[in-house]
Amino acid sequence: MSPHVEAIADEFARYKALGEAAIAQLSDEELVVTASDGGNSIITIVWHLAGNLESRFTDFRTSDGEKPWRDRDDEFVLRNVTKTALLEKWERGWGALLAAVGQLSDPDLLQTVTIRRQQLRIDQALQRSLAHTAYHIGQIVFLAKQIRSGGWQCLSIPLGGSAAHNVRGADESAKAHARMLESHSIQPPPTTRSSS
Amino acid sequence: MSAEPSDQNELLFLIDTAYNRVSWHGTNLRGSIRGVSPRQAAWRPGRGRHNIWELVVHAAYWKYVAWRRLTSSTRGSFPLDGSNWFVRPQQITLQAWRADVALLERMHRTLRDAVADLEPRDLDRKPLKGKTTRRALVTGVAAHDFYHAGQIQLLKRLAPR
Repeated sequence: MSPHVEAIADEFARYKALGEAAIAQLSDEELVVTASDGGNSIITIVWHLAGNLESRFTDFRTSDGEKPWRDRDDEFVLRNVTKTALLEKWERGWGALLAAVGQLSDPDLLQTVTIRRQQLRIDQALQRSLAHTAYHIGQIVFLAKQIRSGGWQCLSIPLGGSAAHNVRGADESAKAHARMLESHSIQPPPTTRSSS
Repeated sequence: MSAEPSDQNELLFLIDTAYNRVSWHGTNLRGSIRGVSPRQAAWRPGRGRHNIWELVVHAAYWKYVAWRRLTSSTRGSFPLDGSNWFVRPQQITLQAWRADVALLERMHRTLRDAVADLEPRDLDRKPLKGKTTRRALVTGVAAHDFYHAGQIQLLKRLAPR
């Protein structure tokens, strides 16, 4: 992969892995919980994020990133779905992104795509999407941690573990972080609808 | 594609939109703490959870780490003892809160200057003892700002006013 594309793709991989490691720790019932009145649940954030990614990156280079079939407002409608259904939605969004990015090489980044009828360079479109994605993954992790409370399995350097981490000289690249998260056997709590 | 001077401007644009320049996606890190009081910044959503104040100092620390790796500098150190997470606040005062916001600002400026000084041909090379390219390092630290800005927005919603 070209170095510029790789730098962005690795960050996407990091945030995908973070989101999945957070969702893995929750039961179906917990996915619908909101932290405050009127706040979004993890289901709502995932629905919005995946909807955005699927729209932006389906036929990425040949059609407008805001697809006529996308209903953005509907992404924020309260819904209660199983974790299985949630992860299907998640994969549709991420699948579109990963397929599109996987076909890019560095010279392509100076070409343009169209989003909401505006021309945008591909590198800028990817950076915008990374910003949006990292922002919402931050919220998913925050909410998951809030819901799991004491049972939370840490997704980065645990509190008090920095010194040991520094001594080991660990690889802190986005790729290594994603690999570390994917290799964790993070388990949901014992009672979940999706486990049956 | 070999790195071109415009690549550097794109990286500067990326870290600036993540920090304090109008951002398409919504609130950036500096925007997320605008108008936050020391009491709001110190509020924790639960036992052992980080507050806004700690997220701010954590973001400052990782800007420092990125600067240090970019420049392979052996000089200078983060002004606070420790690494990664710092227990905050020591005192809930406006002065203490402003001092830590100023620390974040200073670390961002220092990092920004280092990115501006990079040789374009070095962007896709790894710094000495580094495990990622300089471009990846800068992209990562920008995404880190976005990630925590999203969390601060939620913390503000939850914190009692």
